[in-house]
Amino acid sequence: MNVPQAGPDPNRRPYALSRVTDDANLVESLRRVAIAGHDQLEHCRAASVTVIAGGRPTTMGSTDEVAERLDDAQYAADDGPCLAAARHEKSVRIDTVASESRWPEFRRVALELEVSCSLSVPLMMEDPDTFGGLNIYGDLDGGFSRHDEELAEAFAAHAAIVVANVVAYWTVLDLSVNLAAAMEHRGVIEQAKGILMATNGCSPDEAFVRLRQRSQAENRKLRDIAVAIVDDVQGTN
Amino acid sequence: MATVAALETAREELRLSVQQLWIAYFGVGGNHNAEQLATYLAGGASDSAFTDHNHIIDALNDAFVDRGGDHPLPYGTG
Repeated sequence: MNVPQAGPDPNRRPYALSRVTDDANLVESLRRVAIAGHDQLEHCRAASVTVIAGGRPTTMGSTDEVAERLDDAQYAADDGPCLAAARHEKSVRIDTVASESRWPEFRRVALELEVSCSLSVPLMMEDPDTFGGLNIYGDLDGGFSRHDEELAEAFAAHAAIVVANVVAYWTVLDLSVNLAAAMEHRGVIEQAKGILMATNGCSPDEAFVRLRQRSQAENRKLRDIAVAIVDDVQGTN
Repeated sequence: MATVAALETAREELRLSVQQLWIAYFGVGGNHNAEQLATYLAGGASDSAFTDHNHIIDALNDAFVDRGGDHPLPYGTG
């Protein structure tokens, strides 16, 4: 697909986001959200999408290294305009980074990268444990205008839907991976129980109690004890 | 035996979501679903309705072992 090109035309907003997932993997989709956000504002130099899940912020997509370095500086300090906007669900506009005193680490990196202003807009998620933000960094004297802020907020309302869907997809993917591992653990525990039942002439419940007692005695996880028992029988230890 | 309240305190201490705990609980042989586990931990299910109390302890104790602990939660006889 064609990534939307630069140009602050508010009429392009729905189109800008309607095709971000075409032919793209998830990271690429969110990078395209960042690019589309970047293109909404004339003086935007870099943009990124932050997602805070489980309390941990991550840049899920960005236009370039400038945005990533600015985001990373805020994550390292666990504070900054994009984190404040995402966590408090309220836009944060910095008109002159040089005179910004609330976030010194962000200011230091921004000045190093010659970024003079920023606009951080929350991405409203339905999940109460997930927060998001669209981060826009610029080099415009005097900063972004109130109109820019309104444009970015309108764009963010659309972008939040895309980001929420991507996060939901990843959550399900993560669950499926963890479930597969849990099924494997469960299987090896059942194998170990069978071995203990055969060697001790005991019931399944008694076999599990033996497994648990050994886990406590050796201070090792149940799965690790089960693997050791199975390996012993197979002669792999 | 660790009480249900103690299990919930341990889960919070370990910073495990109910879903993460359920996956670990399922991995050690637990048979109830995630919703039933959440209800039990919230105090909304009786011991007779939820028969895997010790498997929750297994999952939590394993998580403590992962973090350098040594089975701090005592088991019941059931």
